[in-house]
Amino acid sequence: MTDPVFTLENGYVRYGGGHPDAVSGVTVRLHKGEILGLVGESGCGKSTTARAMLGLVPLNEGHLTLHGAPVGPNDKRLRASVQAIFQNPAASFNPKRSLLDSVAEPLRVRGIKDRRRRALEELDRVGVTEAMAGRRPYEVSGGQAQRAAIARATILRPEVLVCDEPVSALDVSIQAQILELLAELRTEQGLAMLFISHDLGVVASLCDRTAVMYAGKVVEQGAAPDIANRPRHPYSVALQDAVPSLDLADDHVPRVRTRAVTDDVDGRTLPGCRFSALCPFATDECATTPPPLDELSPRHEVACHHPFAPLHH
Amino acid sequence: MRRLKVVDSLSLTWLGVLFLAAVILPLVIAFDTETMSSAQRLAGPSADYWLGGDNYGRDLLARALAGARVSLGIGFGSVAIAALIGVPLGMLAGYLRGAVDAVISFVVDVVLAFPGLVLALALASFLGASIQNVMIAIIVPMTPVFARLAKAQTMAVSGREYVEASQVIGTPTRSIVWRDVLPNILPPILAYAMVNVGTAILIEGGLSFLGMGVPPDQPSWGSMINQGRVFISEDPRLVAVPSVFMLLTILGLNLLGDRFLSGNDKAGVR
Amino acid sequence: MTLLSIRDLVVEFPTPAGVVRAVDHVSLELGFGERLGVVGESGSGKSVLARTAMGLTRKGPARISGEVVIDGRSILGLSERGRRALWGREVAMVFQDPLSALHPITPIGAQIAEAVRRDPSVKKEQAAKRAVELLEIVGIPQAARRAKSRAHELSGGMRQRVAIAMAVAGRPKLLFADEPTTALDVTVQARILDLFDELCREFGIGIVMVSHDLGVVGRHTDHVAVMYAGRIAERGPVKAVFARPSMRYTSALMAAIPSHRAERQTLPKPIPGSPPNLLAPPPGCRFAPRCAFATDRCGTEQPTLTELSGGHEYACWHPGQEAVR
Repeated sequence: MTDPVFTLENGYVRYGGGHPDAVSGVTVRLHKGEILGLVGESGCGKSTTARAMLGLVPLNEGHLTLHGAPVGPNDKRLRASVQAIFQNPAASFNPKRSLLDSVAEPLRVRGIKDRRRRALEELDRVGVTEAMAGRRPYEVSGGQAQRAAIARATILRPEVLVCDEPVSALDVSIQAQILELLAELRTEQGLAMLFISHDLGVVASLCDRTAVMYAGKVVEQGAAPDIANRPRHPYSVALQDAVPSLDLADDHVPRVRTRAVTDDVDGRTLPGCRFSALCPFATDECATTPPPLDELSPRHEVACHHPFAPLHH
Repeated sequence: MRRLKVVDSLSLTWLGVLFLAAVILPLVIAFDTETMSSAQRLAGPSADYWLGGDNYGRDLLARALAGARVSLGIGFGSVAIAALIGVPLGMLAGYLRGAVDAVISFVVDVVLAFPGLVLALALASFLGASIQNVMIAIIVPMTPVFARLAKAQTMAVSGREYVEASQVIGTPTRSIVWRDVLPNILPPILAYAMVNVGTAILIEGGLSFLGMGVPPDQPSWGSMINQGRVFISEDPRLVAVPSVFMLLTILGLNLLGDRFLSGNDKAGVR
Repeated sequence: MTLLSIRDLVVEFPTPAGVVRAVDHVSLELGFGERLGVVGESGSGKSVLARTAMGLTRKGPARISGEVVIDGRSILGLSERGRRALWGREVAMVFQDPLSALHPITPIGAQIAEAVRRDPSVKKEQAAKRAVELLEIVGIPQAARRAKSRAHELSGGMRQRVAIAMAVAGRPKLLFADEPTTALDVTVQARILDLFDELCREFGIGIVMVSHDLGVVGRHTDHVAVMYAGRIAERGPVKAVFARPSMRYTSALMAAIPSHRAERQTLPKPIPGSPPNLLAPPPGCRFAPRCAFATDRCGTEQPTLTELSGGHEYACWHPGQEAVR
């Protein structure tokens, strides 16, 4: 395994005002040419993790490293190496400017010449025509705008791309186009990517590794197919079971239906395992002692006192 | 292309005609606002004096148009200055937050704690009657209002994804404020400014009416109403003419301001 | 027995740029206690179809022709008053955003009680009791205490449960659900969908579920209608349609959905291009410009619905399961 390109080491984000940690001791390591999927439900802290890695929210504890060296949230190297695409393609562009202008902006900021030609080239590479490039963000389709957002993010040839729910606002037929484009970027440019999504299908089909977050912590991570088919943390299992499968021959009986419907329990306030209030397998130990993220099998880590037995197909 | 409604066209037409007549026309022909003709004293409309004469026999239309120049000048001028000071302050407070915001917001709150008209009155009576002082009396209470509006708008815009996207690209703060924030907060501020021009004209009128505004030798709508007040029972025309000019102008500005705001919502909010 | 019958429905919206035909000659039927899924991407007309069938599309901005009959009563000709009498009693609706259906200040129990009391024979005390029962039915823990909460004090999943309780308070025969779980997390979605199934099973409520999610529709409805650019591309029993998609758009759509149980990284297959501009739709098959199997005929002649097997119909000149050549 090569050394990671970009990492978040043991990061904590607190929004203050007596709120529990939004992100609590999360470590994310991104490797060249590898896409790490970060999944979880709303409020689990996955977006905050991304924002912290982009320097958009300050870390209360922990730090970022680029090629092993610590890097600050406003560091020029961070801005040059780490780029992002966001959920709402149209909203991530200034409505008063054309897509072309916005895509050329990273070049303008760095005083690079020949901006128009380079921006058009980059747009063409992601499938946005010159005619489209002249339009405002709300005058093009979501798919076109997201392509332009990818062009803006890659025009400076960064090493890392952080994608925060980049396809959730798109229709499935368009979503697949964007996934294909991202997969190409990984292969052609060797980008390291953090791919945040609530959609397990998208993550399973695109990502190399998957990390599952719950209530501010990573509860399980491993190779994407393992997390998809052989999850070992009860929460990961519940998450996988909840997805309605399109394969109607798949008569899968849910293994974990989370306990009771108290879906407004805030796991972050619990002293032990944060999932213990909802977990059907929780014991006294779970209620009192937070489980560490242990490597149960090679490159498969789980934070659970009673993980599912490893399954073999 | 947005279709203009009838009221919008009427407002635009009125303001356009007023601008032409009060600002452009005097460049071509000189208005006679001073000649006192005894034959025209309190005389009704005629071919010479379209709206008749005032109590000294001066041309009422010429004086109303000259007054328009003063009133519009004070209205647009003081709002422009208030916006030029207030908006940057508000944007700084809204984008940088923290200590900068605390200081600016404190000053804004203090000034806004005085009732606007009373503050204007106090300033005008303290500074004395002149066009410049009327403008100061309008600018001081109006500036913090622009600052507060700009701050609120800036805070709303800086939370948008495109501002974050610019930060990630590495765009310097100055450039983000100038290129990403300003163009997107401008439409509501312009709409508000238009409405405020009306308010400024009203304050100018009030101050002049009280004799604390434009000196009586310069015609303004407020000072004309003040002078005509004495004759209101004999000839209400002296008060009615400047009043109607003022009413239509302020109404037109308000209607256009509203229209501007609602028309811009569609594209801006997406 | 037919609960809902939509016949030859056309909904058009005149705009300054031209007429947008959002729903183009659509016919559908649904029996009592059955569940119908309407799937499609944005702009397919699925929402407009459901809203029109419920009588929510206003005649002013829209031109509507065709017929919608719910339990023997024609909907489209009804007066405003007639519609109001229908809503909440015969038909009810659940939206994507539950807050749109809930009053911000009135406690949720009181809101549901009010909905219960649309039946004039119910007394006030009975209604309050029934409201708590309904909250229990939709799975709200400590329902009596929760009845005093306001909408903003609840989580998204809870709010949607309350909105569902309110929708079924008047014992409707037909429930329209427009993307009811799209804003919810998967684990919450799973429970809400189970709840719909239960309501259908135990109270015999017919459900029309509009969704962009084929998995949701596949797992929780009996019949499905796939829409594309205002038209029905394919329809029939859900198992038959998903086991043997025949209209090429259905096949392509299914191939575009990523599998959450992928054993190897297998990217979903994108559909090239984008949905047609409804101001100037292609003349023949609406999907032809994006279809890998399109021929000259597809570009000129509009395919009609053809039956494959018991109730399974598709509109395609070159039917098949493959999405790409």
